[in-house]
Amino acid sequence: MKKKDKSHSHSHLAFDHVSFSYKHSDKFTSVFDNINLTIHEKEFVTILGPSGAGKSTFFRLASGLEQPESGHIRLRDKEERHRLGKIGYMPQQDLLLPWRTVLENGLLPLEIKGMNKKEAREKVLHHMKKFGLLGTEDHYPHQLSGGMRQRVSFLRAILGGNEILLLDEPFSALDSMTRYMMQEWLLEQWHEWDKTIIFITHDVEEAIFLSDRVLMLTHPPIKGEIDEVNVPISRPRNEEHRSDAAFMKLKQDLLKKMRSKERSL
Amino acid sequence: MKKLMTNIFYYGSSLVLVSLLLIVWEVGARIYDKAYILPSPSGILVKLWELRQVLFYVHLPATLQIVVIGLGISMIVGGGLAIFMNRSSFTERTFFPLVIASQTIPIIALAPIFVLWFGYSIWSKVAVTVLITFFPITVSTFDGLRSTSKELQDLLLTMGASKRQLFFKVQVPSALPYFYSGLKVAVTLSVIGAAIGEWLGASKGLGYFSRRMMTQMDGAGVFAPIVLLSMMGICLFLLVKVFENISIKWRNK
Repeated sequence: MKKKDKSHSHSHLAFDHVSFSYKHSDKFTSVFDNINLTIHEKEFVTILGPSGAGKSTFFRLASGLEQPESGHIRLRDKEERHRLGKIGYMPQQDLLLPWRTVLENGLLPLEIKGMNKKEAREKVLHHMKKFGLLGTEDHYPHQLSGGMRQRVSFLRAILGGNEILLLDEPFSALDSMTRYMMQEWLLEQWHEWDKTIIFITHDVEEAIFLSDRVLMLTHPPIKGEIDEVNVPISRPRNEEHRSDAAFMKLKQDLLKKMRSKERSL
Repeated sequence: MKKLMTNIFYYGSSLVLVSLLLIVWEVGARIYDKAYILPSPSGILVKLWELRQVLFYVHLPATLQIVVIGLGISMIVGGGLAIFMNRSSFTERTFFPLVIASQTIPIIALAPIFVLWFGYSIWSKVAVTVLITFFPITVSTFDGLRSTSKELQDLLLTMGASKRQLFFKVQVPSALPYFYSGLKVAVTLSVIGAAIGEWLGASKGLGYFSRRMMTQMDGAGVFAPIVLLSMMGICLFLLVKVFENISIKWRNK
């Protein structure tokens, strides 16, 4: 895959000495203390960590819902404080609007951007075709299966038109069969759309199967450089890679690392 | 037609109960035989028929006008107040106690004052109706606005939505089912409000007519307009239900 040549790729999203804490009734709980990390263009990076590890705080900061207390967040090497609307977000629960049909849900990001109605409709239908969702445009979300709803949610994120997508444990609520299928489907979509994807999960296997690089978070406060592991497994990946010796070994290593990090607390 | 039959079958038990009550009432009234105290259902029906001209062309439209204007004002005031209170905790703190206090006022006691203020015009009755009906609309719409999912709002923010877009694309649709619940309560209360208003000073209307019949010791004449009032309430309720089903059709799919 030509585009995965990371040695020459540019920084797409970077945290530069970012600190952040939550305030609970006058008490500050530090989540990030001077952390640094860089996500490159067209990269698939996973942020792996147990629940309560500051994964969602990372997302809120990256998406612009929160601002760092100190430090900078850069988009393409330029500090950007107004990140809302510039980074696509696919939430854990699909968060489709229940009163809108699949088509209308797809229209939402385009409406917000103020696109002409007819043009927007055509664009959504065109994308639905590519996503294998044609025929469901007049269905309401509650009429779809969990996997289908996540597809629509991803479609909506893509339609936002942003080059970075944040996916927040999007498959955690699905059963394992559907999850495996959705992981492969997501990789296909990633190759197709040329996006930078940041994927949050607590599932080690999911992290390895999907990503170029895994960033590990453990319990807050998280300080300095974030531990990371490269995933040297060739692409395109498919079901067989899951039982490769290299895959298994990486999984063991990662689990061991996560465990030792937990213990050192 | 088939749907109607299914509905009748579905509510069959209720229909049987109502018929039984009516029969008991009819038999009881005939045995008691004092129509000015306890008129029989058949007597009321006959009275309705006799008075149909004046009831349907004079008094029913008068009351309906009060109800419709009152509900209209309540929807605007109630909805507006709910939106306003939802804007900040400051506006909520300032206005919510006042809204609740307004409901502790015994309206029967206050209504004569409205007559003093507004005279015998339609507005004294509209004022009573509004005072009774704005409360359920305000409270339920406010609850609806507050129930809007935080996650959905965050999601729209990440899409770059403005405050206005957040309001119209998430908050309003989220609050709509709550608004309808409030409106359904308000609609049934509106009929009572209009009748109370008319009792205290009016020259036409179903409430006024019922009271006038009372002074003439005409039992069936008291009940006939009340039956119409009740029917009006039921029809308005069903009408709201129709609007609800149209605007929240996603729930039925």
